[in-house]
Amino acid sequence: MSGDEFASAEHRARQAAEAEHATFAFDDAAYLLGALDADEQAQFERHLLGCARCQDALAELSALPTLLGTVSIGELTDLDDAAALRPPDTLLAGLLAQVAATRRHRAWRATAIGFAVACVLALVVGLGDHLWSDQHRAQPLAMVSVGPNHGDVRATVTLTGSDSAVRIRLDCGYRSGGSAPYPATAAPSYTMVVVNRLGQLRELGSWTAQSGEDVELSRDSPWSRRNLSRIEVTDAAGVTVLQLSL
Amino acid sequence: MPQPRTAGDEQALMQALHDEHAAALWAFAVRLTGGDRQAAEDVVQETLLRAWRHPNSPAFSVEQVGSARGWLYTVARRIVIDEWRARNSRPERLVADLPEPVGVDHTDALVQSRLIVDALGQLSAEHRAVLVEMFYRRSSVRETAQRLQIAEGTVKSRTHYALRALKLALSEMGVVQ
Repeated sequence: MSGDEFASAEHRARQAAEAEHATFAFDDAAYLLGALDADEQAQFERHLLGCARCQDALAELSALPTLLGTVSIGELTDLDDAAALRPPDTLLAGLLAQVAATRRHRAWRATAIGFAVACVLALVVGLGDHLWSDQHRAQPLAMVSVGPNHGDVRATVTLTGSDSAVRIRLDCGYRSGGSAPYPATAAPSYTMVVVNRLGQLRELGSWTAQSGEDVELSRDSPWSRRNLSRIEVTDAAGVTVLQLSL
Repeated sequence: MPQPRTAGDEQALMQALHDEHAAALWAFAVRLTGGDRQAAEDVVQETLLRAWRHPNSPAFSVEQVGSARGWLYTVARRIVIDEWRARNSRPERLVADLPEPVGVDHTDALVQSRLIVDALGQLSAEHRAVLVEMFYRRSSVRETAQRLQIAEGTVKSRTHYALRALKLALSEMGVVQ
């Protein structure tokens, strides 16, 4: 046989195989599912022995019958029943309501966490301030009356802020008609004075007392809490009438 | 920290989850709860809420819808099991209407079989019909042709393409390679 004849024979054989494969090409799935009748099955199996393509095709699909077997036919009827696949209308409404509720809760929680963080920070800063403020902060301290004639003047001091930045609030009340009334024309004048540990004085403000009226004076301390020795209220003559030792 | 989302984004995200998965989850949940529609609705709602709270979960897998489904089915199954256990631990509750307790293997199979139902659902009605006839009803090619009023050759070619479409759908879901 010449080379050409050989090539031609090979070509013819390939054509025959193609033709045979075309006959059986669609049988693979029915064969796999066991749906071919006995004759067809026998023919397909004979073809299969010599057809790599059909062998590959079957190998590709071989896992499917087992997987199909895990599903019952009842579950498949749902697929053709649109009503069965339609979730209740209340579902989406419920979901969107939950989303909105979660958002609100999240916003509230973020606020709460922010507040908690602020509290913790404040506490830490406060602790750094040697804890003094816990005893004094926001608690009005009564000033002590000194001198014989000024018993009608009363005041409290409230220290706020931190050790390094103390804010002093003085609440002062004056009531005439006490043991040493002033004439109306000579309304008393007072001055808030702070004293540091070195004995240095600093006037923080003055006011004229009106009977029955309370005066509130808030000033920043010129010194740190540790250097603050006492706070005084003096009269127009510079005589101390009220005093608070710290 | 998750990216901040606006209220509109949040609603749109949930709407998208619902539109994509609610029907399939609903069918699954109805089966899981033995037909208790109220319980099924609760299960679907909780499942989608969990997905919504976890934007990085496979529920949002873009490239693989199937892996999203698998994740959602697993979450739904988990919810049903946890609910069953919670009820079961309270002896005063009647549990007659609840599904049998299921082991891990069985429940994994449950999720997988539901994914197969999904895959079958993706087939055309014609493709599904030949598979139902030949596999589930054990009909021969000849019987199927008679039932569906089509030629035997058509039955064969439809089945041929139906199994390939099923294989493709299942591999997209990660059920088969």
